[in-house]
Amino acid sequence: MLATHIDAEKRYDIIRKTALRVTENQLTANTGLNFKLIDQEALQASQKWALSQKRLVNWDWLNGYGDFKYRYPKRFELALWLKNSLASLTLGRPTYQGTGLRLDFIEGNPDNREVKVFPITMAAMATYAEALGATQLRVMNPINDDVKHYYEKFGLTYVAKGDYLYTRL
Amino acid sequence: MTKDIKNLSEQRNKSKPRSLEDAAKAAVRRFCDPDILNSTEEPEGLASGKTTATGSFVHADEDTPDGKDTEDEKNKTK
Repeated sequence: MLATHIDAEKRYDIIRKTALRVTENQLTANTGLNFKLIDQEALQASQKWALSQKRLVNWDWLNGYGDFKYRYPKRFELALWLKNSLASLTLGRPTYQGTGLRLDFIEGNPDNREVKVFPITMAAMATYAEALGATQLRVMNPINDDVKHYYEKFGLTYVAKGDYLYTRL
Repeated sequence: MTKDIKNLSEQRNKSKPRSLEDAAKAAVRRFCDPDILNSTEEPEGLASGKTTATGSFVHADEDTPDGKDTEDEKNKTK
């Protein structure tokens, strides 16, 4: 890994952690929510999702995260915990021109839907986007119409060519 | 003489960037509005994303000037 890559990783890691911390602080106290970067504990917890009958995707977060992390030092990432249960995992990155922040992957815990993970994730993403100077949020590739319509309730607009939703900040 | 401000949000960002705390406050207010949260149900098995045919999370073809992002930038004004 190049020194410049390591340097970028460190710089953006600080911004990521700060964005998650300040967003978490804005939520009402005693929610039981914990905003963390994706770590080994979260990846191990996500492997239990493979056993769920309710899971709609078969993503391998353990390997997928490693590739994504290496490729995108400016990425957005979030492991959202509710008490001791992993509620969701999210990965995103700035668009090529840096004017937007993409949510490339999000998956909620298929067996624990106690908390609505999408709006909380969007709030954290919006904060990180603002820190980067991005003015648009995109949610790529909703897996079905139910999910797409759910996102639209938060003011996102669907673009069929490209299969994503976006909103301005 | 008056100045025509077409986009108040852009104008605000240019004049004085707000703190990250203020940005977070606005983001939580916008996306975690109790009225919306209480009136919607999150779909079962919520997920978004697309892996490559080999299961990779990285889409190398989208990460170039000629890739999807650039096309998408044009789409947003349509």
